[in-house]
Amino acid sequence: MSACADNSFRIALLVRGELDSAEEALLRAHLAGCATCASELAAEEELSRKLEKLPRLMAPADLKAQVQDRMGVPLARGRVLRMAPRRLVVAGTIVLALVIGAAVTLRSRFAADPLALAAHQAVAERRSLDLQRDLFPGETAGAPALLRELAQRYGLPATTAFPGDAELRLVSVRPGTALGKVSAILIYLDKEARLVTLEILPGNEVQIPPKRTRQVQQFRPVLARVEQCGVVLWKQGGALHVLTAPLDDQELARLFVKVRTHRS
Amino acid sequence: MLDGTYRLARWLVPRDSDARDLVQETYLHALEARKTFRPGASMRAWLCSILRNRFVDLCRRRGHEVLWADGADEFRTLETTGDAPAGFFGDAELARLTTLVRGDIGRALQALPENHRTVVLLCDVEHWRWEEAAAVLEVPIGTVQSRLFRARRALRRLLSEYAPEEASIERMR
Repeated sequence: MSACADNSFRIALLVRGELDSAEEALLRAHLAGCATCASELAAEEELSRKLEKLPRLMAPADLKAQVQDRMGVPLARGRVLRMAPRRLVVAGTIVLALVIGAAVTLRSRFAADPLALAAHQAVAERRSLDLQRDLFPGETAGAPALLRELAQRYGLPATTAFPGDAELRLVSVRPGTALGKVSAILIYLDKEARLVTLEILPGNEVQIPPKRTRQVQQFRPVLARVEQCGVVLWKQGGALHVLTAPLDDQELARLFVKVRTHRS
Repeated sequence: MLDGTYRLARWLVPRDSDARDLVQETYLHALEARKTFRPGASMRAWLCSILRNRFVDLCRRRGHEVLWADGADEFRTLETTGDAPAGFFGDAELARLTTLVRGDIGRALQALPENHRTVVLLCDVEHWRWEEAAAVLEVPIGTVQSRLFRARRALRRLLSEYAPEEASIERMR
């Protein structure tokens, strides 16, 4: 049985919820008096229900690891140094997309504690970035432009982030994923060539329990340690900031104040 | 993103090892071809577009001719060699198991031409936006919509054909 010729496509759009209210009202008025079209609608809805029931496979964990390994090989080579900044965004996005698998695993472990999850994800990403540090000298010049591009694209309050100074040089910016959201990762090198990352992501719904914060000058961030790496988390401008650095607590607190206040 | 790419691969090639190869090739090719990605475009659509093109290449490499059917923008993959296939088509046992797992709707979807199957997967199973599906299929949005419309019609027809078979199987149980 086929619907009235003019209505078949509109019925398909109705099932997808893509008719505007006026068109929908007109069509529903017609459906009330047309058994053929009503039957067409029922058949389309039934098909959609069946399609919804199809199993949604997830990529096996070992496949994710294999892809990540294979992607890591060309990234470690010097030729990527010649990439233009925008292309680096693409390459970075691809590599970081592969880290999502690891992030999903972490999420299941830390589902009840977004701060712990964000800290672990940031350190995992930092480890991955550390492997690519031979790329950074070639990216330094384009980092501010990349940051603006990322901030605009994802609406992140990242352009006001610490721009670097003589002690802490901003060498690269990458898109990332944390707590299921797109983030901007600012990558710095300190005077001793240690990698420091600052990840900025939308954080309005992330609550920081007061009892977990520590007083550092007038601010109260959360200080954590994940796999010998120091992590500082704090809210600023509606965004969650996650700073990672291989420093002790005292150095970490000093670094936090610098990044938070832009005071060198 | 990798999950979506893998799912599309599994619908294009039923054997898991082939799907894995396809996904790995896709990501490596994406890295090589990164200059073709437009900033601001959908990354997943770009990846699936690469995957689909690799699938066509794979068909050709394995001796499966890609035939255009039902007009210029529709194609099916057909086995063209008479020998037992070394590749991913013609594996009757695998096809039977796949059908059992996916049920009638899966069987019907598998029977569609590749373009129709992909548009249904992207738009109605993965719920992608029109423009993303258009980027994967490399056609205008209007073509995606009309193709989806025809694909759904074909699916319903196939499902109605399967219904009597299912009923007779039920009676035999």
